[in-house]
Amino acid sequence: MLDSWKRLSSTYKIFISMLFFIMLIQLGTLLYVWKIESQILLEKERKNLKYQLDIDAKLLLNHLNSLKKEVEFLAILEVMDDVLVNDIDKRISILLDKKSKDLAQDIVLVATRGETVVSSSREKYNRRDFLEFKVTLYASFNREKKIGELSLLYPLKNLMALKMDNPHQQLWLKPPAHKVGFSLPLLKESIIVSQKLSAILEGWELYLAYEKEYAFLIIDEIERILFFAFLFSLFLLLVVVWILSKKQINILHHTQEVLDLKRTFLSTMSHELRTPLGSILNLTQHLMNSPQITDANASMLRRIESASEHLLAMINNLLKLSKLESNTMRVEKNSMDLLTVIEEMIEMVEPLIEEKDLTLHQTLLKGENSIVTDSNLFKQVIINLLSNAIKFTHEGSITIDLSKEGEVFNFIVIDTGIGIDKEKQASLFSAFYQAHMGEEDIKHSTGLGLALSQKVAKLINGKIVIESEGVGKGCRASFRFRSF
Amino acid sequence: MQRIMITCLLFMQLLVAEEILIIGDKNFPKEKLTSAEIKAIFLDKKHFFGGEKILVMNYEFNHPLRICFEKNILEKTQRSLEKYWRKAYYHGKRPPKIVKSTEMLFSYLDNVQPSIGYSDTNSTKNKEVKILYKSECLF
Repeated sequence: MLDSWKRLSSTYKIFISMLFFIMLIQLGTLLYVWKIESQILLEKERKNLKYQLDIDAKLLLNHLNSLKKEVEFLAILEVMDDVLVNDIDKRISILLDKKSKDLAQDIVLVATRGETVVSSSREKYNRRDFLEFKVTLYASFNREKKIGELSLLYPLKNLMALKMDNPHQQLWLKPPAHKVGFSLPLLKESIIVSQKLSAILEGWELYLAYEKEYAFLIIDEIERILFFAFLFSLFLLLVVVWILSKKQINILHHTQEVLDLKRTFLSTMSHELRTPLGSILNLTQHLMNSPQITDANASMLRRIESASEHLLAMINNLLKLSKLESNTMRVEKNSMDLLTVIEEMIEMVEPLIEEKDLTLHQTLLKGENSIVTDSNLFKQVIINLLSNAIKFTHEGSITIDLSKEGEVFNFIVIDTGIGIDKEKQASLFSAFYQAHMGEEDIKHSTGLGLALSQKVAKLINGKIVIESEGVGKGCRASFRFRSF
Repeated sequence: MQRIMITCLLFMQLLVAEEILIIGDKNFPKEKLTSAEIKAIFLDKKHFFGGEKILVMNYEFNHPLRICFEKNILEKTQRSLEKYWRKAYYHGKRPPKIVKSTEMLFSYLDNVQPSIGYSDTNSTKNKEVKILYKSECLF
């Protein structure tokens, strides 16, 4: 998956990252809202309800206070003096009757003198069904002389059914002592707040309930929106990932097809090329052995042979490289004595060293050092490093060193050859790259050796490092490897 | 002719001349009042008697007894009284309490002490009140 991510273009990476980030924010917000709903939101809603309750309480008390003021106003009228004379002229009666009709709401006004009812706006009523606002009557001619009382009786039934605009809210009063008709209403799961009242309704409590389902309606809506937004983002992400994977799969299929084609091509072509080449080589060698061939012809034949061998080597290397790239090369692990194998390889190249009049120095590990590896592939790497050193050294020496650091072996070949330009050293292991462009060097080089050697080295748990101080300063090739 | 006219005038006087009685409640602190005292009381220049504030009663505007009282005892016209009370209001004085009927008057006299009002002789018969002053209604 990491590889797939690395292969994506930056645009796709940014897009997917942003989408993922948005999803995280949505999820975080959703979780936060879910978490805080039951606590903080409940508190907030309770606060809102308390505020509303406070307003309702004030409105109720204001209404009742205004009624009390009506009574207080009536009480200071001079006509109330007639309480003293039992309202002989019925002036108080007329006034109370008119006033109670003005106030409506089934209010009763009663003027009393001691226990005697002097006047009343209604004949029959039960005091227990009313809330009483009583005001003392004083004589208009002597404001210190108490002459009676004026009461406004407010029907309790008006306090039983307190109307709310919102059908999901309920407002009700609880009297200080039990009164019929003032019971707790039937409630669904609600948030309930209450407030003790004062003044006219001293001892009474006002309650306000709000159905939880509706109290949190907005929050539920927000949650729903967030949830669907999250689902949508997730869906979008999945679609993008699906599209990219399909693309990836198509690319993989295409790549696979290309690789298969390449493999088939290489193996077919290598066979098709090797067969005639083999014939050329055989015939050339056969001709070279013929007694009728002149020296000049023999020389030409040798050049043909050399070119054919070079071509064959290149085809073989190409095939190997193709196998390595397509991971079809099999590694056969077996135990071998390291020193024996290396000495064998040195012996193979010694004639070449002697031919070029080079000096050979070697410092090899002493004792038995057996390792588990693919001996054929191992030999290929060693031979390649040795033959490169010999190929690119025209005078001087070749030094071979084999050492061990813990579990890691180090095979080093140091030559006094033509060296490598520092700028070209980074591309040494690229296929077909050739650090030297001199005709002599190209003639014998396919440009595949180091690339192939590095891939083989990696297959057998190793790595090649080539270092040079520069052109004409020799080269140091080290092959670090460990046993399987 | 002259004699007839005088006789008629006398007769008329006999017909319209009514007695107006200034009456107080049965426990009124004074037995008799002078006309000056009555004026002071009814013009709210005197409020208290024996430490108690007096309830002063008047009839409604245009009641015959009131007209008689204002003319013969207060010796003021209605217009001058209006003027008086307009000014007196700002000095904290208040006009007498208005009662609609003599029944009301007597009821107040029964229930409030000290209280004062006025009535005619017929109405006052058999009432438990103190007659503080007498006068005639001369029109």
